[in-house]
Order: sequence, then structure tokens, then C-alpha cells
Amino acid sequence: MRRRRRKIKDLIQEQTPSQDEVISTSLTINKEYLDQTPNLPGLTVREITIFDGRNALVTYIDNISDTPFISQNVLSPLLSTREKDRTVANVITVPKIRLVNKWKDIETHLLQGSCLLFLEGDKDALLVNALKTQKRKPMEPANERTIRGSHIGFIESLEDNISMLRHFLTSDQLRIQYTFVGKENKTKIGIVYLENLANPEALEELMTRIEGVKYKTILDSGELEQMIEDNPYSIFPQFLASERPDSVAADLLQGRYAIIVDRSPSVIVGPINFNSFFQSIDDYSSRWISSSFIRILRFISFVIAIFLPSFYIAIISFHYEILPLELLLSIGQSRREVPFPPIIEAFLMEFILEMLREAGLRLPKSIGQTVGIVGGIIIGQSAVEAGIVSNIMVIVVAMTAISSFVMPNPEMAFGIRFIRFPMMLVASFFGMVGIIIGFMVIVMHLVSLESLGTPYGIPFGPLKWKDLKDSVIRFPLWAIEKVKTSRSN
Amino acid sequence: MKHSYKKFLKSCMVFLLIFLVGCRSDQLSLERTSIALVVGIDQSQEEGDMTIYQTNPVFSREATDTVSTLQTTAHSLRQARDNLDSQSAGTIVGGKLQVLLLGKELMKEQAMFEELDVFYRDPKNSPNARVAMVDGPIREIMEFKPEDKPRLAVYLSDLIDTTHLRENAVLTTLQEFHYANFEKGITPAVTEILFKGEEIQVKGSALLDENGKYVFSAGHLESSIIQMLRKDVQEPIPISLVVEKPNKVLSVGVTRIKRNIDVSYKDDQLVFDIDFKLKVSITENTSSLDLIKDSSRIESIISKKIEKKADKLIKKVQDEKIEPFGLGVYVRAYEYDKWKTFEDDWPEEFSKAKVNVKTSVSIIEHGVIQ
Repeated sequence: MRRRRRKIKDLIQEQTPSQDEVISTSLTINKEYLDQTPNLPGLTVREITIFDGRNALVTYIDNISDTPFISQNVLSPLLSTREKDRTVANVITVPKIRLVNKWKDIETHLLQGSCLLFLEGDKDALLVNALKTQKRKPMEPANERTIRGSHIGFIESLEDNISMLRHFLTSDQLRIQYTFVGKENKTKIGIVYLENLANPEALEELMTRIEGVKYKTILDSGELEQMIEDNPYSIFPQFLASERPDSVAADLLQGRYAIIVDRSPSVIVGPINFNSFFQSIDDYSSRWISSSFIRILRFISFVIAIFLPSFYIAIISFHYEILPLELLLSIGQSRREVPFPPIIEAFLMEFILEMLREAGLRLPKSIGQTVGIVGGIIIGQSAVEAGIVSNIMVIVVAMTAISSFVMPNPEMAFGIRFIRFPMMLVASFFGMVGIIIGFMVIVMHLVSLESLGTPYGIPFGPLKWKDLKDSVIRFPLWAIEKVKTSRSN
Repeated sequence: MKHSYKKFLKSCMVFLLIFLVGCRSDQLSLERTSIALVVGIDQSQEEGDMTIYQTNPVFSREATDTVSTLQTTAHSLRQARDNLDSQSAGTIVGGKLQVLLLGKELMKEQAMFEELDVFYRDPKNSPNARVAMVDGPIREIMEFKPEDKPRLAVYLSDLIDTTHLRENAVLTTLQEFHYANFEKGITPAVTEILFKGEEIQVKGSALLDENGKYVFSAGHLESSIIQMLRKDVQEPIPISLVVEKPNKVLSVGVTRIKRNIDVSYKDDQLVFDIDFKLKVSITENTSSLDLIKDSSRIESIISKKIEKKADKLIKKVQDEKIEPFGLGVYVRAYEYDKWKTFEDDWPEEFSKAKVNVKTSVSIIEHGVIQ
């Protein structure tokens, strides 16, 4: 098989010009090349006689190019014009025409959806961009919904995403740097920032990291994110991914960089800090007291999601003294029927919770409800009745689940859900002392983490008084305007 | 990148080293404990021994009773615990102790403070347990299981707390008991309870000497006065007076108290000038007194009554050579040089002191009738 293919290849090379050569002035030779080349599957080649009497070849790849566009803007003018003294370039009704003459370039452009026009006797071929794209409507992203504010979301096209950002930021300071990543399949990425606000050192760092990516194909921005992170062994995300143009625009106003990967609707933003994961774009459009309340709620649920199960284990295994008597008696009553030690009980329930969440995630909505019923009624109620878990444990699991869903950012929420498990382990070994040590390790890790070379713990550690105004409590907008639009990182 | 990979490996190894080391942990699951909620110490038939009672909750679906009561005889509390441990299914822990009951007969003979050493030495024991003296055998209270009341520990602690809230008895926790013993300017007092018929009742306060030996009992109003002198009151204090014989009553609630305690020496005698300013509201009046016209008379009746009670109490306290009011602290603060000379036998010195109690009452409320 391979032998035969090589033979064909050899044959082709004998008869037709190689990739590196330029096109011929003869249509027949060009047509022969196009017919023979194996790199262009699905190529359509049409021979026509155009208005000035010359013969021409119109070629494009069917499935990538926009056929109605070509027939309307290329074929139809070429065939129906009656004024013979006009040039071909003047007849074609598209904004941009390029001339190419190397076969290699021609092949690349045809694969990118261009339409090429070979003219009898011409040294160059005319190139018209006729890429057909499958575009989704810019709908509101499902996991970043807001109550107020815009309901538009990024789509799978770099240029459209940049245009959406442009809608929000009309500043003349907006800069876009294009580059490519991927060794085999080049993916276009655009780095968007505001010249007057962004830190140039971070840009340099970002560019060297992107250039250093040696991955073959980047399909999604998530993949790129992992390639350019500061600490890939951390469970905390060091870039913020968002599908919302308004929140990315708000980040740009804080001097951050947005990295838009073509064909990926989620835009990654950096440098980021721990505090950013507790903010949502909604916070700024609602009034400051209510959004401060929500912020406090998020921080409390962060603590609950990490520490509640381990706190339960520590109390049951070591520090029953700190419970009020009545609660102690009722917990003791329900614990007595459970044959497992608290750590097994807690692990069992937390794993079931994670499974339920994962099971419900990708299922269609109608079946997703079934998962909820199975989880809620069968596991929640029956497990208690059967004496497998205590009813306090069910409350603990429910509270941690709700708390972990409060996090506005799914990546951060995952990190939090994961830390729970090692925390439960240390709690069962060392009780409250273990929890405190675990907490200190988390804090140490958070403050030593960096995102694009800037500290992750800002504004808490290193402490920045000015930025604290937009952290746990969101001060009124006029008081934080400087924080919101400044080179804070 | 390679460097941080090694770092990751190293931290994994450290993690495993920490967690794979076998060592004894002081982990003790809740359901494996037998939590002592009420501990009672009473006299034993045998010389030098004490009878120790303990109740703990029973967590079991099969057991019909939710409380188990254990009893043993031992020389000391720690010894008793070891005995009880072998009688109980769970490990006995004292971290949630609610009430410590002490027998009156035992307290008459023995200074209790030394016996309670284990409660203070072992940090796992709760210092918040209420100390109460029982007039009568403790056994009866420990085996008291009425159907219309919660479990004994909850019932007893609620009973003591609410009585203290109305200032009808002092409330002393183990920690405060320790303080009263350690502080030279005060002698301890604990709640006194009584098992009468089929009811538990808070009788008042039991006043102890500096070593924790029982001396005499104070009733409800006397307990209120002790606490007024200690500046440890939560208003309102209810006071009922019989103003017209045989059964016409005037009840008032003391809503605000201002106290002023002055210490001085007059002719080499220690003098306390204690000045109470009470603001009272009338809560009940079944007598023929006219609240508006006779207001000054009512005020003097109330203040006379309180003064009389206080004088009587102080007289008795001085006779018995104890001092549960904590007035020694004022002497130390204002007459330090003199205090140094008699600090070790302050109750003795107090018995020689002169205490003037002056009370002025003003009525601020008559209720909603008028």
C-alpha cells in the first residue's frame, strides 16, 4: 500500500511542478497540478471563459468555502460584465484581493477557505477570502449568568470575540498582539490589553511563555492555560477564564491581559489574584450594600466548603466538649447507629456528593432531575434510616455542597471541593490542631503563589489597603473607581 | 519545570512520612464515650471512703432507657473513675460535666476543695460544671427519673440557672469555686438543692468556709443580698413583702441597683459603709396601701426590710467566721498595708469589722393598672 502510494507520488512529481515552484502561465499545467495534488481533498475546479474572452480557472474547496458568496461576488461579475476594457480586479466585488504565485501559499490559502482565480497568461493568481464559518449566536454563557448587565457571550471566533470586546472598550489605548501556538496545527491567538494600564513586564513574560509552548495542537484556551501557568502543581487556577465580554473588559480596565484563543469561547485573563475569584460582574451593577453582603456570603461559604466536613470529624473524634449539651446528645444518638468511624462516614458521603454532581453535569436536563431525586431521597433519607450515615452528616454534606456552588468561578470551586478531602484526613488524625495546620498550609500556598509574576494573595498578603476596598466589602463605586481602573497588579 | 517536579515528589514523600508513621492518637469517637453529665459525691458507710455517683447518656437504639446511673465507692474521684470505667461500656470522659452534686453530710465533715483536685488538674474536665450541695441523700436525686421532665443533667442545670437568674441562689461553677478558694478575700458559697417529696427544689445558697466545709445555709432573699454585695446581679430581683398581716402582700422587682462600698478605718476598727440605691417597680399589691400617697412609706418599708435582712445575715456570717461577700477585695484595694497583716485569716478579721448597710429605694413604676 505504502509502496503504491509512493509510486503515485513519484509520478506526480515527475509530471507536475513541485510545491515550491511558482504557478505557470498556462492554465492546462495549473489545472493538472490541482488535479494531481493529494493535499487538497474536495477541491472544485471550474473552467470558465470570462468577459474579456480569456479562459480562467476558479478553484475553491467545497466544504470550507462559502459557495453562494463565490458565485455572487466572483463568478457572476466575471461572466456577465459587458464592458471588455475593465480589469479583472475591478470587476470582482469583494473588498480585498491578493495576488499569489507560489503553489505552497496557494495550497495553504485554499485550505483556509479562499477562492483562487487563475487567468490564462497571468503570472499570479487572484485570491479572494471566502471562508465559510459555522457561527453560534453570542448567547449568554450558561455558567456565568448575571441578573443585571449584558447577556452576551463570546463565541468560537477570535475576530468576533475581539469585536465584542471593542464594543465595550472604545479606548484608543486598546492593543492587540497576534501570535500562533501549536507545532502542527497553528492556532491563532490574540492578546488584548490597554497600553496605558497594563504592565509591560507581564506582557513580556506572557509572550515568552506562549512562544515556549511546545504542544502540537491547542484546541481550547484551557489547554493553553495549563501550558503557561506559573505553578502547574497547584490546585488553584492562576488564570481566570470567562465567556463574558463585559467581565473581560472590566479586567482589561484593571490592567490585565486577555488571551483569546481562536475557536474557543472562553477567554483567559491574567495576571489574576485570589480575590478575583470572589468577584462577579454583577457585584458592580447592584448597589454596594447588597453586593457587599453577597461578597461576605461568598467568603463564608468558601470557609464552610473547605472546613465543615473536617470540623465535623474533628468534633466527633476529639472535641465533643465544644458542642452545646442538647446538640451533643442528639448527635450522639444518631452517631450510635452508624457502624463506621466518622472519617469513613464523611468520605462516603462526600464521594457520593461528588459523584452525583458529576453524574448530573453532562446528562440531559430531564434525566438530571432523576439524579437529583435518587441522590436526595434515596441516599439522603434511606442511608440515615438504614444506619449507614448519621443525619447530622447529611446536613454537613448538604451545606458543603451548597457552599461550594456559591463560588462564581467553576475552576476555583473545583479547587475548594478538592481540598476538603486532605482536610478531612488531617482532621481525623489530629483533630482541630490538624485543621489549623491544614489551614496554615493553604494560606502559605496561596500567598506564595504567583500569576504571571504578580503575587496571588493581593490585596490580603501582600497587604494593599487601597485594593481592600474591592475585596470582602465592595465599597461604593466612586470610592473604588481608582482601584477598578488602574495598574493595580 | 523539572525542578518543581522534584519538589512535588519531595512533598509527597514528606506527606507519606507524616501519615504512615504509626503512633497512638488520642482520638476518641463520640459514640465510644460515656459522657459524665452529673457527678454526685456523698458520704459512705465505710470510714474514709466516699460514694460516687455518675449519670451518662446512653446512645443506643436497643436500650429503652436513655440514661445510665453508675455508683461506686472509692477513696478519691480519680479512683472512682477507674472503678466506673470498668462498669461502663464506653470510656468515661468529664468534658461535658454539667452539675457536680456534693452531699451535705459529707461537706459538714470534710473540706471538699482538696477532694476536687482532679477536676482542676486534668484539662479535659470541664470547668463550667455547676457546683451544688444537696440537703439529703444524693442517691435519691441520681435515681430521679420523672416522666414530665428532661433528663436529669438538663433539668438540674436549667433549674440552677433559672433560679440564679432570679437571684434566689448563687451559682458557682467549678472554676469560680476554685477562685473563691484561692482568693483570700472571699469564702466560697454554692447552690443548695433539696429533694422533697417528688420534686427537686433550689433551697438557696450553702455558705462554706475557706476550705470548702459547710457552715450554714442562706435562703432566697439572703442569697439575693449576697449577690447584691458581690455586685453580681442580673436585674430584676423579685422581692415579696408581707405588709399587712396575715396575707396582704406587696411585691416589687428591683430593676436597677447602684452600689457604693466604702472601706475605712475608724478608731482602729474596720468599717464598711455600704450604700444601695434601688430603683423598683411594683409588680403586685394586694394590701390597702395607696401607691401614690404612701409611696414614701412603701419605700421605707422596703429599705427597712432589706437593711434588716442584710444586718442579720452579716451578723450571722461574722459569728460563723466566714465571708462570702468578697469584701476583702475592697480592703486589699484601699487599705493594702493593713490587709497584708491579716490577709491569711481575713474571715476572722471580718468578724470584728463594723458593717453599715444603708438602702434607699425609689419607686419608678407602678405597673399598667393606673
